[in-house]
Amino acid sequence: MKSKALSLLSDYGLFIILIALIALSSLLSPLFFTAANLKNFISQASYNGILAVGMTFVILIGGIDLSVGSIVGFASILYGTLMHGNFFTFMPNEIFIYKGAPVLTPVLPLPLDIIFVLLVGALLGFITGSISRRFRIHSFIVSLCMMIFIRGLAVSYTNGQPLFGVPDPVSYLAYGELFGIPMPALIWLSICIAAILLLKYTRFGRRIYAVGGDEVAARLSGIQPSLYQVFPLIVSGVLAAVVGVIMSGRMGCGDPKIGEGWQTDAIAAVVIGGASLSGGRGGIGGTVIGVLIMGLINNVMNLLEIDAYPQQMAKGIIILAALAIQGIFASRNSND
Amino acid sequence: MNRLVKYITRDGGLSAILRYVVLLILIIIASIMAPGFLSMQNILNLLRSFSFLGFISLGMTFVILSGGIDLSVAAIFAFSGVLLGLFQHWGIYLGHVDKLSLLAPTPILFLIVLAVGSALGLINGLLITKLRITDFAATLGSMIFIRGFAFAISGGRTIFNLDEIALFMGRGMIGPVPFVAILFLVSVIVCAIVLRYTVFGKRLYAAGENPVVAKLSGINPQKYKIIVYTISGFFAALAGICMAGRLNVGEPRVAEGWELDAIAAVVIGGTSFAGGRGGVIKTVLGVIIIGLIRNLLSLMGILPDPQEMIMGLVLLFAVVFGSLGTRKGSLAHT
Amino acid sequence: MIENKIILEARGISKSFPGVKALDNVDLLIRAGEVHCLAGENGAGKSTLIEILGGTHQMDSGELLLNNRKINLQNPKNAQELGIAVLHQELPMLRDLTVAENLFLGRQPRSRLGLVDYRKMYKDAKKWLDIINADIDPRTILGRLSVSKQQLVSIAKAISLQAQIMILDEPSAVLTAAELTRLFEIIASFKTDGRGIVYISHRLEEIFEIGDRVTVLRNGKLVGSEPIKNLNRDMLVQMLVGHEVSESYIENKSVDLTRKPVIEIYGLNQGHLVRNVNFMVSAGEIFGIYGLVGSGRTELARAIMGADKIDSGHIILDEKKVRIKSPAEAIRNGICLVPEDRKSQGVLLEKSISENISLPSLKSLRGKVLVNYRKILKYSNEYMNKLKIAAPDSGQTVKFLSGGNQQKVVLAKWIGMNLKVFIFDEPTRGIDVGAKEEIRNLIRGLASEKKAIILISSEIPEILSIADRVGVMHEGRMVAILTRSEATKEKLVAYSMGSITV
Repeated sequence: MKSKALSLLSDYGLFIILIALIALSSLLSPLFFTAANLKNFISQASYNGILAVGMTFVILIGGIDLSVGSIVGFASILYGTLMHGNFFTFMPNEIFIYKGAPVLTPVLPLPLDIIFVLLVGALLGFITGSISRRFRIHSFIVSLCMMIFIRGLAVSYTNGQPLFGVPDPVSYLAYGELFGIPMPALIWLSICIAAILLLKYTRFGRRIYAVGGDEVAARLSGIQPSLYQVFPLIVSGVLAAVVGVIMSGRMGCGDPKIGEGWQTDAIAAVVIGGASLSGGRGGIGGTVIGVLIMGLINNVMNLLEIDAYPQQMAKGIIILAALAIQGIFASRNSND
Repeated sequence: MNRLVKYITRDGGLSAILRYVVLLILIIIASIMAPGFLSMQNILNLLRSFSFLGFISLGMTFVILSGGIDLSVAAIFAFSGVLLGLFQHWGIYLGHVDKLSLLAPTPILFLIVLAVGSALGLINGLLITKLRITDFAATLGSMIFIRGFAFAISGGRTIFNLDEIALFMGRGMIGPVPFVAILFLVSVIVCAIVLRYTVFGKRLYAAGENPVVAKLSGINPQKYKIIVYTISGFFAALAGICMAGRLNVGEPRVAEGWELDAIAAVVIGGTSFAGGRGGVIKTVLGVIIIGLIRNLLSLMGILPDPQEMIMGLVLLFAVVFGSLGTRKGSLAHT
Repeated sequence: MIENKIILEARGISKSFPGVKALDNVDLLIRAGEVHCLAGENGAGKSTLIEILGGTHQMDSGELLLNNRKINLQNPKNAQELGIAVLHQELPMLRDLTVAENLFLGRQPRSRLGLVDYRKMYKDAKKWLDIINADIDPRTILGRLSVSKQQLVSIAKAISLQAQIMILDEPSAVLTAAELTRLFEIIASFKTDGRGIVYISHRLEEIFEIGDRVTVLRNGKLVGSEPIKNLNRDMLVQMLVGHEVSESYIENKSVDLTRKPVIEIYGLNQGHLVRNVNFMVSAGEIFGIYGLVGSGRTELARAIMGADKIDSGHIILDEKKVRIKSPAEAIRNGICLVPEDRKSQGVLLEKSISENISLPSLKSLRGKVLVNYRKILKYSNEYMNKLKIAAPDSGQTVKFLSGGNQQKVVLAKWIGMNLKVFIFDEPTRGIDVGAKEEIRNLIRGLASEKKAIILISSEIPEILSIADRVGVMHEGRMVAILTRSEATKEKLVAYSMGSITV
């Protein structure tokens, strides 16, 4: 009975914190409850939200994907490159430095170029996942190497310069609205719905939980772990590429430096959402709340015009606090 | 043939041959590319430039031997340099920028900075043992926090000009030998003796290989975890002080990503991620290999960004090769 | 009697692991409607054989025929698809998922849309749990159930697979008498359904109770396969051991029980599994503790060692009250533990014999500051020879030693330290017969050196042959303490199962 009450508290505690934070935010800043700020808040949160969905998959199998931030940058510059078909032949200066609307010479027609970028994201995730699985090295270490490699690749490709010019439909992905809701938020929402369906209502999803909870147990139940240990990293790679494409639309350019350090926000959101870093426990619902909490804190600190550095410190403390609470809960449960 | 393959891929066999072969190849390539490479002068210079990474890799070796990982070392490194800079420019808060105004005599400042660095490491250890946060997650959190803290206390500025004693830490020479290289070699010897010939060291190996066995043998693995993170913090602070002296600045942006180089050095050297196997002499080898690779890439005129890309690949190969010898691999962090 | 149809035939199965030939040309015939018992000492190759049948390991040579067709098992999934289900001895279950999910792991019922149908899943789960009379809500998170209930879930799971062939690996080890009776009823119903059952057990009574045929393995080789009705107990024992043995050997030793106790435990409480435990052990006495797995024996040992924090109670050593908050303090006070799981708790597998032996006594093996390797070598060689650890030298890595020698290494860690109380938790589990007797003799030797010994064991003959008194544990309580003359097998079983009326 006691453990039931405890688990209820830990389930709804998160929600209560979110409500309390919203209340606090509106008290701290009168600007908070304006339509403009709320739209801004939700579309800002969407980028981390999309990454966090991928990270949830990875953390569910007890992994970590540190390469997502780099994949965002790589996807962005790759998308930029695809917009400049002549890039490979003569590298004109005007596509590096913004001088009014550039002439786009796309390599692939519109949906195909995005699909191509997403496939590359999937490939990168697949590489991380299969090295981790094949050599039994924790994905945190493999993705750390991939993070450095991919970022280096993205940045050296254009010497760190952004490539200007994206087509209107892609800008629409970042700035468009449907029924008054910003497009990034809608994309995030649909990804969440798909992820919930996959994780909760398909055998495939349940097997991910099983493999993450205990690989041996899963094996003995007739589940082949390999697929379920690689697939989450592919999801994470694809979703990072999605963010890369939308970010290109948002900035009007492909920028290889975008997304630096974003992996920590995504991890933080998932952990705040109650997922266990050892795998097998967690879900999209919790992650969404985690993303909103992280986003709220960012939003309010921006509204209050707090400097970037103390913001970073606050973020570190929030992550540690979330982990500490989780650790304390876990130890209490194990003592019961 | 089969036996040779078996020998090379068995535990430790890889370190015995492959690592030295790699080192030899690197030295040969370097001496072909740069004729002065094997001159005494250049070797001493290289020794100095390897020492900074060397310090944090020493600390990292202790942590990895205990089965942990410390992502916060580079942040502590930067924080320590900034702290030293601030202590030497105490007037900065009164508007006297770039003018020396010591808070206390410099050696005492060193001690304070080292104590702060160790304390930050201690906090890492406490987060991991008392609050039961995974090593990697706890130090990731503190990395973000400490780096932010370094920016916050310096206001994001670079603090220029340190005093003579501080400069000596990074630039001083004793005869023809750079002081920092001597400091590093002494540290290596002390660490090697501590690990091999003290009860502490031997117990650390036990606690790192299997904390349960260690505990039932009367060892408190948590205590060892706390101590190794403290040691790691101490060496990060020492590296930070020396680097501040070398660059003559307190700079919050310094050493970004160095935690990865340190991890790479330890793993390339042959210390196992699973804990309980390896040592500092191996790490020195790893530091030299990493340092030489970077040095070579610069010699070839490769820009920093592509260098990063190549280092990512090198690190990946190191980790994969490092895992070949151990049967379990390194899933120890889950 | 007409022989039943053969379902599965294993021919000439061989399997080697580095350094060991685990199975050497073993045949096995599984017939429909027959309970086929698999017997053999630990290390005889039983587990390897069922791991091959379950697809966890692949054989080096030999072939498997299922209904006369050759099959190739690559992984547990293949085996399950072909109708071979294994109930494993340990509980390979997912603690964070619900009972129902564990039952239907990887094969959850689906609705027409292809999505998991949770309602049907809970309903089906309830059905299977009811079949084994288990009162468990399928929606509970598995980790919140007690260990014995978790075991029931895993039995329900094995049954729910409705496999053609069911392999049960020592299911009786963790079950209560009532649960075991129910399991036997279920097995009987499977027989009438025409399924093949492979039943592994260390308890000879069980083999005679439910077996139709028994196959005996020894050192990876097939000793024989006989219908049960052609065998009697002595014949089976002889097949198992290979030579005539006198099973229980009782030494006549007089222990002066009026002597002062070395260790006294009063009102010890720790978690759910140590409740108000009182006992004392005097010098030279071997105090046996018997109880079923999960009765709190290991937890009691860990509580005395300070490995888990005690809730209340106190420990008196040599008439002085001591507070033990960690194993380090326990050792300082003269108590040591030879733990149940040698490989994960007793030895450092990757380290040498001498590193292991010297680990707890490093402080006494140093010079002024630094560790003296010559002293370490001398010290560890001394105890290596004393305990007759079979290895070329003390530099040998422990993971290459046999189970019995590893256990001696654990013991060697403590023998040189002049301790007063030795706690042994299942010291002879998983080691071969010869080494078992050696370990028991070492324990007797310690007792003759006036050490106080606490011996936890599941093997009644072992307890009866060497313990001076026996405490029986049931659900965390020490329900009885019997002297050697009072203790009988029947009493121990009765007390351990909670039926006080003897």
